[in-house]
Amino acid sequence: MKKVLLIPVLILVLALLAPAAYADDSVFRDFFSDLPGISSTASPSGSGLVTDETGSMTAGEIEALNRACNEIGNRYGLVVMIRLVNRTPGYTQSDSDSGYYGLRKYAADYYDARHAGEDGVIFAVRLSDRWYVSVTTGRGERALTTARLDACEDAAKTYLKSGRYYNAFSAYLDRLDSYLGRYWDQSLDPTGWEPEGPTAYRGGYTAREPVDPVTAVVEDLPIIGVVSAIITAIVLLCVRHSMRTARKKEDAGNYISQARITARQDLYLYTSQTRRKIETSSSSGSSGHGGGGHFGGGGGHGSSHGGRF
Amino acid sequence: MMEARVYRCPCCGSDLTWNGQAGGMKCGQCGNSFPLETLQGYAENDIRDNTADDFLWDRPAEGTVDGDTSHLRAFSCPGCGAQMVVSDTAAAQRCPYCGNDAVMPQVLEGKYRPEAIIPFRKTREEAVEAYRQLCRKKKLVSRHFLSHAVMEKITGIYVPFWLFDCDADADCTYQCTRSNTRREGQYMVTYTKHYLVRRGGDVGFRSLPVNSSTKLDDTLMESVEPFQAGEAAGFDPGYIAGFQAERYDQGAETCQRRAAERIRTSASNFCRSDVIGYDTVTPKNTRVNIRKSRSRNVLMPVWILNNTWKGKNYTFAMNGQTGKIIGNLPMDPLRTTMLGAGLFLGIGLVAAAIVYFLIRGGIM
Repeated sequence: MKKVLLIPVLILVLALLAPAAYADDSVFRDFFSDLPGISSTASPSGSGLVTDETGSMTAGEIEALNRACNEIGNRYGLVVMIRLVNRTPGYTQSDSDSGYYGLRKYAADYYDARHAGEDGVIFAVRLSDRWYVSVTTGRGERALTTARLDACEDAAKTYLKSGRYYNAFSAYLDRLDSYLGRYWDQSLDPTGWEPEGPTAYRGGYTAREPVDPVTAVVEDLPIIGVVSAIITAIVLLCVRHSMRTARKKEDAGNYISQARITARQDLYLYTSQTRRKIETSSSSGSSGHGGGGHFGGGGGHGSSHGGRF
Repeated sequence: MMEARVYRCPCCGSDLTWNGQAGGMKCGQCGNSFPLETLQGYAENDIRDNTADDFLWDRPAEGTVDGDTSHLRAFSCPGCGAQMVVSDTAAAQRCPYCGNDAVMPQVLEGKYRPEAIIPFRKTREEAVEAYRQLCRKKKLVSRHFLSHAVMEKITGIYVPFWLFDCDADADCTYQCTRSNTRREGQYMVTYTKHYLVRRGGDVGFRSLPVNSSTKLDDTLMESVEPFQAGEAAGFDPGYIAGFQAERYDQGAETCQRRAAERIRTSASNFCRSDVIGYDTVTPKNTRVNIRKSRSRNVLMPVWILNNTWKGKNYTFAMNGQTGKIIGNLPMDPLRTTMLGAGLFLGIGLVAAAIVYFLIRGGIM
């Protein structure tokens, strides 16, 4: 009976965990594409929440992104920042993982220098080694899980690879706005988290329609029903199979009295070969990372997520 | 009109049946056991003493059966005189009127006489208990199958088998490959060596059984294998007293085809087991020659229960020698529905709880 139940249980677990596993997959394996848009004479342009040190975006684009960051920030009481740089002197730059950690430290310090103690998120992109990173703190960290940041970055990555930075950041902000709209209410008072007073929020916050877990379960009932029906059918088929034990014998192994090998010949014929090109590190991409980091004076634990494009 | 024989207890006159544990004929009334040789001598004298009261009338069966009756035979019960019609392959039958177990040794005479017989070692009580245990393990079986009336139908049958002895010469060829991969510059290169592999083998088979009665399902009979032919005894009609018995209605030539299929598979498997050290092995050609073949007609003991439920027939069988038990049992609709509903609700609740906590925890 245990064998009969093992397969359906595995199917149930996989069916339920597969979407989450996919959402948490932070490994990017995109091949290298030419990196356009790097300006050797980058000059600071724009100010405030969106800064472009590379000169890749026009002033109008930066202003539009600034407005979007402001709107999102005001709506949820968060600081939303975007930072595009060529290099980060003083911070590790590398194709390897250390480059990611260097950019993460840079983004955290940059945010901390301007909005220490405030809840928010910063999305930083460094063109020299093509790393990008999202760093969150406070309620930004609670509302934006690794999987959600992953989805935001995925939305931007396609445009980053083709050098359309304005489109990349717009897509990132759209996705960010979408997630905050769906999950912001939970981040205010999630079970098991210590509630904070209302003074912790800045003005202008208006909660959107909250996602009630019970409502979500009700909405998912058709899927749950289908999964249950499939597993039930598999179990019943296994039970039905076990009710029939009459099997035709295919061989006569029980009646062999003696057996010996009388001829043994191994004739070599020819050799064939197949070749497969090895993917280089620059073209195979590398994995993204998630993890915790402490920054700012607000006492909150920040989290970050990122990758390469 | 066939002559039927009943083995009676020399002590009390009750019916005797074969008892594997006692190694002879046992009386269910007074409990005495008798070796077959003793009973044969007794029967000869008994017949001589009763020649004046010979009740086995050699009269032709009157035409009371319509249609093709070539496969039927009539016999008169030596116990109560009732006239019965049975299959022409039935060698032993229980009289439905007086309960006497009658043996018709003529059915197993001449070319139908078995060379040997494997006596029942498992008693009827053991078969009933095994059937009960089998049904209890299957939780979805209807209670109907555990009723006393159903279990009363369990019948011991001596099933005719052809046992084949032979030597098989197998000659098999295979296409095999062996690969290794190494790095060459910017490439991973896989070298695959291809071989033609040939294996020949001599495989001997002894006492491979093939069911030779069309009245019993081949798959069912193969399922209760194996039989230990080494325990077979010379045939004597006394062994089948108390059981049903059939004679074969498929000749050895017909059954050889099934034996050849199984022999070919086993011989081929044996050669394949010697092909080692390759990454892939694909069979190419297989040729099996059978020589020194010999066949024997042997009666094998099987406990059978045929049960009709909701218009379908379900059969249970147990090897009367080894006790191996098999059966095709149906699922009770009510129990199946209850199990299905329980599973559906249980799995649904677990899935809903997982979704609920994933959303509440912000993972989804």
